[in-house]
Amino acid sequence: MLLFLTGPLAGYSFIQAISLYGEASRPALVTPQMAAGLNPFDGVIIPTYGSLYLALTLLFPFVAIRMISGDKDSGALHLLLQTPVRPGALLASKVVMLSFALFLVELPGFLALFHWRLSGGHIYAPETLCLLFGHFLYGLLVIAISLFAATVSETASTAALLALACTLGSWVLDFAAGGNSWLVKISGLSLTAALKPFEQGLLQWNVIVGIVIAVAGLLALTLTWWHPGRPLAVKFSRSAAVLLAFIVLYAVSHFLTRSSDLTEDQRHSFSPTVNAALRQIHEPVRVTLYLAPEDPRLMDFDHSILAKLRRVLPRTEIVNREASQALLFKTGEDPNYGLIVYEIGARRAESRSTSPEEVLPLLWSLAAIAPPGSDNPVAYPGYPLVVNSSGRAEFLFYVFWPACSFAGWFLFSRR
Amino acid sequence: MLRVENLSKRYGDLHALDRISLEVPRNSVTGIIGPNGAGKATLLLGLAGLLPIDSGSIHWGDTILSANTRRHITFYVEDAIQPHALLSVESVLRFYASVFKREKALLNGTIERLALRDSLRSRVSILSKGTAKRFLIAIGLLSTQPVLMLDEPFDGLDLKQTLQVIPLLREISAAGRTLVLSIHQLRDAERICDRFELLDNGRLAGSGTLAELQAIAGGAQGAGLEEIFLALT
Repeated sequence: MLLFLTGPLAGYSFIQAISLYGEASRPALVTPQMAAGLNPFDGVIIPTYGSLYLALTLLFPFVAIRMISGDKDSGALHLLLQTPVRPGALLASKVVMLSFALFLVELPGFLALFHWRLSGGHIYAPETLCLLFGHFLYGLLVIAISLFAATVSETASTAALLALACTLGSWVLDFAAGGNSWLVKISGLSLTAALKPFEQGLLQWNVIVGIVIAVAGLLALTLTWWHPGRPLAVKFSRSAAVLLAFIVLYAVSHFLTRSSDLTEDQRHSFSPTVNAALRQIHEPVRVTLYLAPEDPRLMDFDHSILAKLRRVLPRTEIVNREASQALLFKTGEDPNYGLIVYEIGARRAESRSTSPEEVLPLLWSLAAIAPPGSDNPVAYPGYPLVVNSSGRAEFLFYVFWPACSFAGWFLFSRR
Repeated sequence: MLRVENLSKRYGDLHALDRISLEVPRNSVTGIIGPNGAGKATLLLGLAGLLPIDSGSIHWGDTILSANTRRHITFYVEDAIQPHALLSVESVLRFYASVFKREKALLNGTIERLALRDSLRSRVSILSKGTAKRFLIAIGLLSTQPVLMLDEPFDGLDLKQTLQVIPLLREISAAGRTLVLSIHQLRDAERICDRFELLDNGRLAGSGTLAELQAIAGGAQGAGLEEIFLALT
């Protein structure tokens, strides 16, 4: 049933995305200057995989839960646990089977990529592979959450509620995080936050290791609670040990600051010469902001300066004095509002600009570094495309895929 | 010999098992006899390490069996389960034969002896009660642990099938496996068991061969298990 649904779901997103992308591309085909803004990764691939993210979040837990709950309900679990196969190996075999199911769920995405490429669309492999890797890790996380939920729940329906509380709870956390600083910190643990860097074409080691640790921790907890013959006291003590190990390892993973910008337009990075110049700054850099979290200037500043700066100088300390204040109540009252203070060692400079053209010279001056020369980076050309699929995509996703899923189910049910 | 000493299990205020001590000789067929709720399934789950016990110990020879090591000695097949319900009988039996490293000849022999050949392609979920029971017994026979525990092995079987299964289980026992059978049909128990452990309300009401139980019950020679059970509980 899940496979039957994922095709039309991904297909609808893909067809809508190529239609909108085509509309946006029409003027760019006439005026080449507008083409640079047309990125197929953002315009077509991310929206298509967005629907698969929904399927993974809302539907895939049921498949994973069934693997454990089905065995519990049918009595197979007791038989399996008495075989010479170790429980860890049994659980690993289930994870492998679910990973294959995950691949099947993601298949409509590959079909969309294939269709896009056949239609003459551009695909930049590194950022696309980054997204696929992110989906794989996210799927593993959903699998681990679902297996654990199924293990600690008496019934499959309770397990489904528990798993969805985790996945959908992440959405609630993301919304609630808005302006509250401690909620912002917690929302960093949400599942959506885990997938976000991959959707931006960023490969962050701390995120990858964090997900792997979370998956390993949840599977260890599943293994602890899976065996019905284990006394409760043993289960609780082992769970405490696993949780402690998880907290320590997760905290350590935050020291992994390395990341790779896999986007074609290198949107998360300064130019190589600017990066090289920034790496000459050996003193700690401190940036103090006076901008409310919902202020668009903060988002612009974060995107164009802070995120890039953090990637080159991970030790950069960033403090926002307005983080817990609402914009509505602060604008006009605080004379410092909008100010950004830069400190390198004992030197200090202030600015209200959020533009790299004005901020970077400030940093060169504070660090007493000669401004780097222009390295004339190759401008991102953009890839406008109007696809006239003449019903091919509709046939592929609304007819061919469901028919294949139905045929597969029919053949399996006759075995 | 499988020896159980002072095995206890409580669910809240309910004593599901109250200081049960018993001995199961090697290569014997021992029947755990008792009405519904007597604690038969709880005892067998505990012996298999599938249910945590509150106190007591389980020994195999001179070795104390921990919950983790019990799966190397005992194999328990519960009653009325439908393991791997969506798979065919053949694939499930092949799976268990392969994990227990059983030879193909033994798998085929088990299928023949339990008359499962015609049901091999059927899904486990659609098996009739009798076929499902023979399928579960087949899984038990494919296991390799020295102690095989079956819950209600004759429930769902007609007389003819029961009379086919009894000699098969006897052969298994004679070939070196110890059988522990939970049976509530006393006539069937008398047909197959060497020894009986009578359970009532989580307590052991009697233990021994039929002759020994007749003596304990103080009944006349030739008294059936039913009369003995009623006399002792």
